[in-house]
Amino acid sequence: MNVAVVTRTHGRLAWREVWFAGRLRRGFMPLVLSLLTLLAFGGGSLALFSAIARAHAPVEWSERVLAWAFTLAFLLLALGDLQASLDALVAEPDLERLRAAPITSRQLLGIKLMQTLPRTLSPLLTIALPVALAYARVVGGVHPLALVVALLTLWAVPLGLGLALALPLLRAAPAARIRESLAVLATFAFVAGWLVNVFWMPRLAMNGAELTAGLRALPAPPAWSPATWAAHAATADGRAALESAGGCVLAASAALGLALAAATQLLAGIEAQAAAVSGRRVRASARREHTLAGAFLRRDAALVARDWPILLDTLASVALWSLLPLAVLPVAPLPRLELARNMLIMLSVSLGHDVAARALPLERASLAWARLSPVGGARWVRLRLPGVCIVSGALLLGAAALVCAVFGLHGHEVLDVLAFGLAAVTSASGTGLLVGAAMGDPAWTNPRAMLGPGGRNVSVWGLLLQAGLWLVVSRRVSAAEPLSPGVLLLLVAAGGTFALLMLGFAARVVERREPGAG
Amino acid sequence: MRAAPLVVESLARRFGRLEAVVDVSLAVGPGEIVGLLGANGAGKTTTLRCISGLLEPHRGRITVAGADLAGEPRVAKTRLGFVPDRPLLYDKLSAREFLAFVAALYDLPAEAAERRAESLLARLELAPHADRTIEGYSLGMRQKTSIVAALLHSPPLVLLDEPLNGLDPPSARVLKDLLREHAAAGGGVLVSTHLLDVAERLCDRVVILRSGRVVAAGTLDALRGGDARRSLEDVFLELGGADAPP
Repeated sequence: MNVAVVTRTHGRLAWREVWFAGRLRRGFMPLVLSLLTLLAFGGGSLALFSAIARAHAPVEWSERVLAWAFTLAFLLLALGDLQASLDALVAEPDLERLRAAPITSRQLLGIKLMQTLPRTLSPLLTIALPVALAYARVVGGVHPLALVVALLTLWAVPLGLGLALALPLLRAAPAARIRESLAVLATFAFVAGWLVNVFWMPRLAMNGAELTAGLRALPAPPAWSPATWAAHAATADGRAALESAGGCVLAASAALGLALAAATQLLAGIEAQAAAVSGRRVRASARREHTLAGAFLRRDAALVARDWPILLDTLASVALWSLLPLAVLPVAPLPRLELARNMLIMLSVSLGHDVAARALPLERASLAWARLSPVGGARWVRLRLPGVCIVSGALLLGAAALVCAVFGLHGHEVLDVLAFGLAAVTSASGTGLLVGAAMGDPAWTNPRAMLGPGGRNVSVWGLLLQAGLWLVVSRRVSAAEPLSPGVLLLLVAAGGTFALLMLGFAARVVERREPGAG
Repeated sequence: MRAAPLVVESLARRFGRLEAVVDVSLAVGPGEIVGLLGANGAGKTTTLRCISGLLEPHRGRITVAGADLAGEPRVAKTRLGFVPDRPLLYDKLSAREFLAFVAALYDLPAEAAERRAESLLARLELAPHADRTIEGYSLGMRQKTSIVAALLHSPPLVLLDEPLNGLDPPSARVLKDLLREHAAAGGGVLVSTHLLDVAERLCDRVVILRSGRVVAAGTLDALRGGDARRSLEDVFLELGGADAPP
């Protein structure tokens, strides 16, 4: 294998994601967001380290902050971006060509790790590096070589160990289920990351209201963590730094060695398994659909039921969003009705958005039938609505019943909570369909990434904005008492009107969307 | 008098600064099989995608069996069936489920559509696999499913983009028979192919594209200029074979 040419080609491909034929491409948006994250972490940590220095606090406090920043980057890689590497290794469309090429499994692993570098380097370059540079500027004593070793460790250990553990699991999965297994791994990673983030951060923020108290309360990161070793390697002096750096190099080498060994042993078999999907036999139903709406519902039911990790992922995401108000409870105690309402609003916005945003990308390239058939884009979008409404509606009713039972709500209170949920789910379904139509990725392999990179960012911001708006409305109109039925009706009508507007935009996008030309 | 299945007038389509199709005019009459020939990048796929409605032309007029594609898109699309170069299928549906869905898109009565689908599936020897999900299909099986979907509503015009890709020789023969039967029943067929012997044996007329422009059109005899010793390959190489990518 000509390593130089392969490296150059991947570099060229990565660059063309950002800039090609004199135009900015969609890879530009993640780059801008990464730059903003880098500036935010850099600026924030510079201010924090300066404040610590001004308070004449012990230098260990700054070291602890750095170690936690390294731990965050480490966790993001282990939980989020390991999935990107696994996906690239097992499910990417170029695998057939690579498998046919005269390269070994180790070389294939190398190519794939290089291919996913832009993604997997992101936590290092946007979190670990700016915080370390801010530390170096304020506190000093960071050797550039030690910093490189630390960053390499943060990259290599989670990816190496993660691959070494995940590859045997995938080898054990049935051939037709490898993609599903990957998707379930992604969901678990997402759930774990979300739980850590949501339940830990508000409590930290609460303690951090007063900087000194907050930092004093900040626990030391676990001594056994490679992220702690990396931070120590970057900040310690003399022999201690050398020892930590040595430990880091050993850990990184061992992790990558394990991944290489696992790849050599298992990768070819896993890829052959994934390529040998034979399709499952499905029972032919004697029932015929006599309406187009019925045919759409039947198709949607089959697609969702057979791509079940998508539903699992949606449910996990929805459940987690609904817990958000509970997570901030220690910071801002809320009345019972407002808390129940907020939980259902978060759930509804997330539910509506998540279900609707996936509805059109779920069809992949076959969405082209909207243009090819006499149905037309606008009607196609309208025909997708019943499926979206059934899934969202059923989940909303279940969740509302649960929330009402848990909080002991009765009569008007139930109606109030339900109306807020209905208004939120309707408006979020509208934006979800629009985001899915405009930014869906027809070549998605991971259910968490059915939108393109820009689309995912827009989606999260859109979701937060809508949830924020509904929460503000909820607080302003009446936090503790249920609203009158007239006002509730108005809320639902406002949500519906907004959704109709978004639906119109989505229909126009689908009407105009042209599949790639040959 | 029955309207011509296809009339294309002065069709043009750009991609950025690239002019993929320039002032293309062609027609397919009732009972006619027309071949669309050209080197890679000559504009065959773009022409077919514009005619099918997948791409919006920048200029020109497309009339499908009397219906203007821009003015009456729904009517025009009902009157054509398209087999794209890359089949547009739902991986998680079986072929039978997919075809039932396509039948609903074209508003076909369910029972009649099922009978027609079964007959086509049987002829293309796909019936034994038609209850398996498409994700496990080979390229040829996907292509057959796409062909059945295009013929399901018996449209006056059938468009096919490199339809023999992935088909085994018996299936290729069945497809050619199906297209001949379609033409014999008064339908029109526009087929793009790079297999000149197929075009020579299957098509009544050919249109040769080069850099997005029509450089020759006519019956095989006319293109040969009365010289029976000249093959279509000779004609193609003279007119369109040395196409530089546009």
